[in-house]
Amino acid sequence: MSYKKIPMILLMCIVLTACVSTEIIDEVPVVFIAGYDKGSDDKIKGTISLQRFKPNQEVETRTFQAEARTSKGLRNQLSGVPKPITIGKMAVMLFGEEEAEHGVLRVLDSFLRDPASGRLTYVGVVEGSAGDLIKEEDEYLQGIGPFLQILIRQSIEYGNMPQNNLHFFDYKYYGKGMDPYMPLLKKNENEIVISGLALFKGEKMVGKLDLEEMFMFTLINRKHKAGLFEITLPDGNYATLYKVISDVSYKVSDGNKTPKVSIEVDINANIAQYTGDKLDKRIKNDIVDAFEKKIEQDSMKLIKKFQELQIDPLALGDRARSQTRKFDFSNWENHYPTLNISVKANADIMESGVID
Amino acid sequence: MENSPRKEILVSSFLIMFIIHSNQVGVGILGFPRYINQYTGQDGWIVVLITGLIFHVFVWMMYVILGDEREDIIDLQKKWFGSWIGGLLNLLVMIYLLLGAVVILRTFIEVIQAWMFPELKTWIPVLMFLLLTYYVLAGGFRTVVGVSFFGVIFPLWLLITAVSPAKYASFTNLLPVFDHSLKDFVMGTKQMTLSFLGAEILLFAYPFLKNPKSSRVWAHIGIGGTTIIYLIVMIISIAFYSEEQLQQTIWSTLISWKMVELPFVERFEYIGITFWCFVIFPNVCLNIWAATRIGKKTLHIKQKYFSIVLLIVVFISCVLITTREQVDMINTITASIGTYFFYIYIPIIFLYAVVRRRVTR
Amino acid sequence: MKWFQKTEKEMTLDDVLDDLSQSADFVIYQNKASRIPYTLIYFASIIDPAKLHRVVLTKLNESETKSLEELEGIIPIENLEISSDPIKVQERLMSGYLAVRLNKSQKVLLMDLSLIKSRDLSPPEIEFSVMGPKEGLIEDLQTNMNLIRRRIPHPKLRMKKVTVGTVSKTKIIVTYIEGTASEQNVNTVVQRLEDLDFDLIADSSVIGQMLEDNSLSVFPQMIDTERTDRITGHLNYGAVAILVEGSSNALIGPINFGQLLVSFEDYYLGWNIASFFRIIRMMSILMSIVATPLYVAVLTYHFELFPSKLLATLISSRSDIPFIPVIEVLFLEITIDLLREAGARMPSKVGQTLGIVGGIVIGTAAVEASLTSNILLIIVALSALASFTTPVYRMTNTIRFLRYPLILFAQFLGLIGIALFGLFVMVHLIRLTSLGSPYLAPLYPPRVKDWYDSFFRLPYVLQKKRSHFFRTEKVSRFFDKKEKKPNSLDFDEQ
Repeated sequence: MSYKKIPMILLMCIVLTACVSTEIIDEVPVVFIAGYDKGSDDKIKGTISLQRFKPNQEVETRTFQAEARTSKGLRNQLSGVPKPITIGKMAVMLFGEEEAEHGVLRVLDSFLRDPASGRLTYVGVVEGSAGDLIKEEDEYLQGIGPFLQILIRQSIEYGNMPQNNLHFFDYKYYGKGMDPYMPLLKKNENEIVISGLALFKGEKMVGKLDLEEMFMFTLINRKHKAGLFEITLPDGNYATLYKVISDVSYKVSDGNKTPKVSIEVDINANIAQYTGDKLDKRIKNDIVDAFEKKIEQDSMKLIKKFQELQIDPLALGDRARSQTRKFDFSNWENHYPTLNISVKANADIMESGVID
Repeated sequence: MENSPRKEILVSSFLIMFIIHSNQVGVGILGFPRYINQYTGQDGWIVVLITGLIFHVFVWMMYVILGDEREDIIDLQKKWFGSWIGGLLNLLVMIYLLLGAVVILRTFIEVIQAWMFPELKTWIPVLMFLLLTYYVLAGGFRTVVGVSFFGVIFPLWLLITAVSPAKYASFTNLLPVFDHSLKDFVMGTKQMTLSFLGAEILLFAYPFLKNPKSSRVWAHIGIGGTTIIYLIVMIISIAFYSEEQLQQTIWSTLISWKMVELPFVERFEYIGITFWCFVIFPNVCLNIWAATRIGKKTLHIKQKYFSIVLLIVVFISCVLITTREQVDMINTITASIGTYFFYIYIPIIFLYAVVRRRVTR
Repeated sequence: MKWFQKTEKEMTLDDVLDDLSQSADFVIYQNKASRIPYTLIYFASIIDPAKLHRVVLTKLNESETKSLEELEGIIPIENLEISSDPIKVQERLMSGYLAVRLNKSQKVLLMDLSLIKSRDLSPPEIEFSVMGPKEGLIEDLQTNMNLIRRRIPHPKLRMKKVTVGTVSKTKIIVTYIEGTASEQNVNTVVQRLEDLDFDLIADSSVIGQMLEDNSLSVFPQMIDTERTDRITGHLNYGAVAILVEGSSNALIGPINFGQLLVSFEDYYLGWNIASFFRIIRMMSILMSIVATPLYVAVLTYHFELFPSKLLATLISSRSDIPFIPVIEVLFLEITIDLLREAGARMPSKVGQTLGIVGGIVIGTAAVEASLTSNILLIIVALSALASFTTPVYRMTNTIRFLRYPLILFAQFLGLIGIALFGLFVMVHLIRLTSLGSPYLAPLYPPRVKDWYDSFFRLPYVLQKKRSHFFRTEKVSRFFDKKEKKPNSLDFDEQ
C-alpha cells in the first residue's frame, strides 16, 4: 500500500519547500488614508498616514509625503516606509481641489486595477490641500482615516449625504448618462467638516454644492432617508423636520426626440421642533406647503445649475435610457442643457412628537 | 454489454443533477456577464434563459442518442462508426475533455495568482489539485460523483452573499426589456454557451446510473439549477454595474463580493475564491474521469495507468500556459470546440441515432 | 512455532501436568485415603474454593463409583465433560476448570469451577450523561452479556463467540439481532475476527483498529462505547456490537460520521433541544479544526478580511510579539496538547490541579511575556474546549490531530491551503467506509429518508423506519396503531 502514501509525501514536501511571500498583519504598513495633491511639474503629490498600534490600544501616527508621476510610483518614492505598503484597508482617499480639477483618474486607476483594494473606500475632495488635512491627524485618537470613514458613513446613513464610495464613482464615471460626485471636506480652525458635494464631469471636478443644496440633491436623487432639515415658515417661525424619507419617481417622455422629464418626490417627514406656540393642523399644512414649495424651487435651481455645467449627477440620462427603447444618447446630450424638467413635491407629516 | 459497470458501483439516478450542474458551473461564473453584455446589454439575463432552454433541448437529444441500453457515447460511436472512425471520434472527444480540464484548472489558478498570490508558481497548485484528482479517480466513479455532490452543496451558501451587492444596485438598469436585435441575442447566446458547456458529461455518466431512464427529469433539473444560478449572478451584475463599467471589469462577480460587509469579515472575494476550489475540483475530476473511460474502452489501457498519463499531460499543459493572453486564447479555443460539439455534432448524431433506430426496427 | 507443533503431537497428559506444575498456583492433590483414590488438578488462583470444598469434595468423598462417567452424573455442576485430549485439558485448566483423575488414566473429568473476580458495575466515566441510565460495561464478559441481554430480552438476540489471540485466547462475543442486522455485516465482522492473527488482545480498541476498513485513516470507523444504552440502541437499529473479554468498551459498527456527533443523551432530551445540541456540536467540531488555521492564514496573508476596527485590535494585540503567527499558534497548540496529555497521565486529583495551574499560569504568563497574543489565547482555548464537545472520545483525538497539518497548509498557501486540505479530507471521507458502508451516509450518498436522525433528530413519531444505512431487512420500527385524533385544546376546540 506504499504507493498510496506517495501523494501525501509529495504534498508535505511542497508544503515544506515552496512558499509565497507573506503579508503578516503586524509587519506590513497598513494605509488607512491617503491624500493626493497636485505637485510641482504636474506630478502627483501623495500623502499617506501610517498608524502604529501599541499593545495598550493606543495609536501613534506618522505621515509621509512624496511626489511621482503615477500613484504606484509614489510607493517607490516613499523610501522611509517599510515595504510592502498595502492599500487593502484604505478607508478614505482624499484629493486636493487642484488635483480634482486636474483629473482624479490618474490616481484612481491604480486602485481600480489592484485586486487588493476595496470598493467601499470613500473618496472625497478637500477644499484646499489634502496633504495638509491629513497632517492634522494628531487631533484624532484612532487616526484620521477611521475618523473620516465614520464621519462620511454616518452622514450617508443618518445625515443628508447621498450614497457614495469608490464603486459609485467608478459606476458613474464609466456609465453613460450620469456623472460622478464626491463629498467635499474642509478644514475649519481645528476640526474637519463636511462642506458639501463636489461635482465631476468625467474625471474632472467642475462644481460644488453647499450643504443645503446637497440635502436637496439627496432628496431627489433616489430613495433616501435623510437627517434633519430646517425650514422657514411664511409667518416667520421655524420648524425642523427629521427622518425625512423621500421616494422619487422620474418620468421621461419622448426620450429620443424632444425629451421631457418630470420628477415626482414623495416625502414623509416628522416634525422635531417648532418655534411657534401650538402646532395645530393649519400650521402643519403651512409647514407642508412651505416644505413642498422649497423643494420644488430649490431642486429646480439645482437642476438649472447642473444643466449650465452640462453635468448629470442625477443620472437623468440613464433614467431616460431605462424608459426609452433604442435610446439615442447623442440626441439626449444635445438636448440636455435646454431640457424641459419639472419637479413636483408631495410632502406628508407623519409624527409631530408627543405634544401638540 | 461486457463493458457495462458492475451493480455495486452504480449511483442513484438523481445524482445526475449534481454531476451535470457541477460540471457546468466553473470559473466562467466569476466573470461571464461582461462577455454576454457586450452584445445584449441589460437584456443579458434573457440570453441566460434562452441558452438554458437550448441546453434543455440538448439534454433531451442526448437522452435520445443514449437510448434505452446501458451504453455510453464511447460504445455507441464504436458501434455505429466502426472501431476506426469511432475510435478516432472518441479520441477527439477525449482531447476536448482534457482541454476542458486544462482550461478550468489553469484559469482558476490564474484567478488565484491575480487576486491572492501573484508570486505563486503555477506548478504548485496544479500539482496539488492533480494529486487530489488521482486520489479521487482511484476511488472510482462513486467518489467522483461524491466530489461533484459536495462541490454543489458546500458553496451553495455563497449565493446569499452574491445577492448582498443588491444594497448598492439599481434595478432600473434592467429596463427597457427586449431592447436588442435578434442578431445581438444570437451573439450573446453563442458567448453564453461557454458557461453552459459541461452537460456532455451525461454521455459518459449515463451507464453508471441505477435507473438511467428515470434520470431524465433530474438531468433537466440540473440544467435548470445552472440557469437559475447564472440568472441570479447576471441580474445582480447588470444592476450593480453600469453597462460600460461592466465592460471594464474582468472578474465582475469577484469584485461585487468586495461589497459584502459583515461585522467580523470584509472583502468576501477571498472567501469566495477559497470556496471556489470546491467548485473547480469536480470539473477537473469529471473531465479527466471521462477521458480515462475513453482510454479504457478505446485504447484498452487500464484506468489506473491511463489516469496517471492524463494527469501528467494536464500538468504539463497547465504549466506551459503562462500569460493572461494564453489563458484567454485556450479559453476561446475550448469554447469554440465546445460550441461546435453541441451545436453541430450532437444534432448530427441525434439525427443519425433516430434514423438508425427507425431503420433497424 | 515449530517447537509448539512438535510437542503438540507427542505430549501426554503427564507432560502437560509436568509443564504446568512449574507455576506456584498449580495444584495436584492426590487423595488416597478416600474410598476411591482420586487426583484433583487445578489452578488454585482461578477456581472457586468454596465450590470445591462444599460441592466437589463432599460428593467425591461420599461416592463409591469407580468410573468418571458415573461421577459425572452425581456432581451438581453445570459444565462437566470428560476428555482425554491433553491440549484440551490444558486449555480448560487455564480457564478455571478442575480436573478429576482416577488411577493415572489418560481420561479426566473436567468441571467448571472458575471464579471471576471483577469490579462492580459503575456509571460510565468517559461518556457521562446527565439524563438516562448510568450503567457502564465492566471488564467481565459474562456481566456485559448479562447487561445487554437484560436490556434486549428478545429471542433473536444472537451472541456468537470467537476466540482471538494466540497468547491471550481472548473470548470475543459478536452480538446482533438476527433479522434486524444485515447478515452481510455480521459475516464481515465474524470473518474479519476469525482472520485475525495476533498474540495478545489487550482491549476492544485493539480489535477495533484491526477491523477497520482503512487503517491509514485517522477517523474512527467503529465507535468504542461503555454505555449499555448506546449499545442496545445501535443493536436495535441493526448494528453489530463486539464485546471483548477484559474490556470495558464495546465496539459498534457500521457507523457513519453523523453518529460520531451523537451523544446518546440526545434521545432522552426533547427532539428540538437535541437537534439544537447536535448542530452546536457540528459547528464546534468545524470551529475546533479550522479556527487556528484560519488565524494563521488570515494574519499571514489576508489581513484585508478584517474590518478596520477589528484589525486595529488584532494588530495592537500582536504588536510586541516576536514570532510569525504560525510559530505563535503552534506554540500555544502544543502547550494545550501537553497539558492535555499530562492531565491524562496524572492521577486524577493531581491532574485537575495541573490543568488549572497550567492553563492559567502558562496562558497568562505567555501573554505577559509577549509570546502570544491574548486574542490567540482566546481562540486556542475555545477551540480546545470545542474539541471536547464530541461525545466519542476517539473523535476528539482526531480533531486535535487534524489541526496540525491544516496549520501547516494555512502557513503555506493561506486560505487556498486550507481549502486544499479541506478537499483532501472531503475526498478521504467520501472514500472511507465502515464495514463496507459509506462513511458520510446519509449525506453522501444522499438518502433523505435517513435524515430524521442524523444532523438533527426528529420526534419519535416520525422515526418509523430504520435507517437504510444498516441495510436492515426489517425496516419498520413500529406501525401506527389506530388513527387517533388527539383532543386539541387550541381555540377551545373539543
